[in-house]
Amino acid sequence: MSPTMQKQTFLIAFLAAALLFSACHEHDNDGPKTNFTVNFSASFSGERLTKYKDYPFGANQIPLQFNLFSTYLSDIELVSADGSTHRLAEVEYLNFNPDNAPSDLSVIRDITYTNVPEGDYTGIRIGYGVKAALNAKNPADFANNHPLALEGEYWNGWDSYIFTKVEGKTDSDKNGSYDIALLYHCGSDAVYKVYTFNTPVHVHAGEPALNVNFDLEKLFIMDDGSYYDIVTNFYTSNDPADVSVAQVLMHNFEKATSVTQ
Amino acid sequence: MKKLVTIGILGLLFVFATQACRNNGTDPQEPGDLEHVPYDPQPYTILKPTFFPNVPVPEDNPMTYDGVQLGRRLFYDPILSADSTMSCASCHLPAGNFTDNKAVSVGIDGIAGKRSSMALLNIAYATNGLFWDGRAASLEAQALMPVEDPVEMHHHWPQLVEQLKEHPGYPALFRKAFGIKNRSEISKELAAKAIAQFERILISSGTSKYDKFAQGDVDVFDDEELDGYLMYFEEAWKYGLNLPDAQCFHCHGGITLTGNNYFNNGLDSVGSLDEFKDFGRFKVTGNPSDKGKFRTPTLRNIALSGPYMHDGRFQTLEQVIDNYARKGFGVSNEDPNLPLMGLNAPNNTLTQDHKKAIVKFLHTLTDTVFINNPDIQNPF
Repeated sequence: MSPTMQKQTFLIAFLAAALLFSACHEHDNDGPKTNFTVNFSASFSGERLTKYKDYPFGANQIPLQFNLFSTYLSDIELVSADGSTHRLAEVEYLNFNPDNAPSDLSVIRDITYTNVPEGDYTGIRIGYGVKAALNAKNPADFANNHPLALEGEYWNGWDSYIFTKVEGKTDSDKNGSYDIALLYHCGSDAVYKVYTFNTPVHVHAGEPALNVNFDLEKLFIMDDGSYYDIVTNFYTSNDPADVSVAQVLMHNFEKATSVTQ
Repeated sequence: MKKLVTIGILGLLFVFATQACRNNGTDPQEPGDLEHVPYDPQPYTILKPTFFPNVPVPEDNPMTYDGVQLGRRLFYDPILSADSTMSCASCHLPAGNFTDNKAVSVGIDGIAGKRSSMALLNIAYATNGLFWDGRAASLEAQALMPVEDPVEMHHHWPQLVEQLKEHPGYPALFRKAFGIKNRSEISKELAAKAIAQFERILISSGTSKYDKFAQGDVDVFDDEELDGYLMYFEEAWKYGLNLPDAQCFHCHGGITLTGNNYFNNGLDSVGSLDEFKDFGRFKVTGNPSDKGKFRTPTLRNIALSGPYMHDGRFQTLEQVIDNYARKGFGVSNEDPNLPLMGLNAPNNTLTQDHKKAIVKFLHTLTDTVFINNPDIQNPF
């Protein structure tokens, strides 16, 4: 290759890198900005999740109850048509448990983000769990009011945050007695997922909030439409080398999430 | 004439002397009667192990050296009870991990309460309610309650505040702690703030056997303690060992070994939630599903904290583990971790050896440096 060609190749590579970088860069315009609210909620089969309520599950309609659902989300980003993004939050902890409420109806978490560039975005991207850069830390690394300072959401055994907790029980033989406890605690970098939802998101003053809902029934429905065998797979393994059950749930989060405005 | 001059001089001396006393601010009727006492608040740095998170401190009650010292005196002073026989420390003694080692505590009138006194170790990290039912939102709010509780100190705050105002020592201490200018500014809120400041320094020393292990001294445990640790935290896979899951850390996890949450931990077999003798958390939330739920206590120093459970029904840790090994009674709001106790053990049930190892591990949580810390002992 001649020196001239070498220079041209270098220039083309440089321009390509610059273009690529420009396409991926954080959306940061000087235009108008506004507050933007996202409502995070939990449901089962389209109905707002209620703790200890009997839900019929699967082909056999076995009774299923939940007593806890919480999850971490990372890098919640609005995506523009040109591929640029605006990050709403680096990490959020959503606990839908009505711990201090007079009823068992799950909590709806309304979170308002400030200084969001106004515009018509093409979608929202969500990381499910705690992204690796943050998962390498532990609660002692964060200020007390930080979502990652929660001691009960970190497991030293995995050196990982517990990305999501789903706890409940089922009456597997439908005899009126709940015989199987369900304990799904998913964590470790291996099960972290990022999903993009291509739903138009309009961020302008006066626009309604964005609704992000997690349907726990769909968390247990496989890609082929069958129901997950929760009787056999009633808990997540403690061994980080065996994340098979956790992978199922974290994979199914994409289908279990609905985004509407 | 000489006599008159002498009387006059003496009279003038008396007036001067009286005036001098007034200027020194010792007359409680005078505004600014405490201004002669220096107010020079020095920030108090809470001593904690490096691997502990920062201690949450509310913005409206910053930690000061004099605030902590005042709180310490109030904590140990029986002036807080109606007959001056009982202090906070009557039910929260350092040697008992700041419990009284009784099943239930008895107040000044000889009336027994219905719950056991809770350990105060690392109580500063409790951010989801205090007491067994979580009815106090903060240490400041909590400190107000036992004083007027008829089965505890059975005093009245207005009277107690008057006692503190008239006390020979407390007004100056309140001045040093909070900068008040007059003893009339002493209030129950300031007293509670001071007690809360003292309680925030009740932090582990980080020198327990468990802490040494967790910080990398892996040889500190014997085999049985290690087995107990691995079952407690469900980490047997790390060592290729076949040990069951004891599910402990789900509720007693994190650095303080409490999840700061409320559970029905399977103590009572009831036909319906209405049959619980003590409704616990329900009294705070009003949620029927919270009947029979109580706050998880810290397990640090648990060997020093008995008897156990909210009503002190178990005298020993062995009894506690035996109870958990029964896996609850299937009551509707029992924690789902209970039935999984002993998962992967033969018949999914903990053996006697397993239980013994767990108890032995619990003893490694003992922190004698903490309970002997001179900064937290009775100052009187």
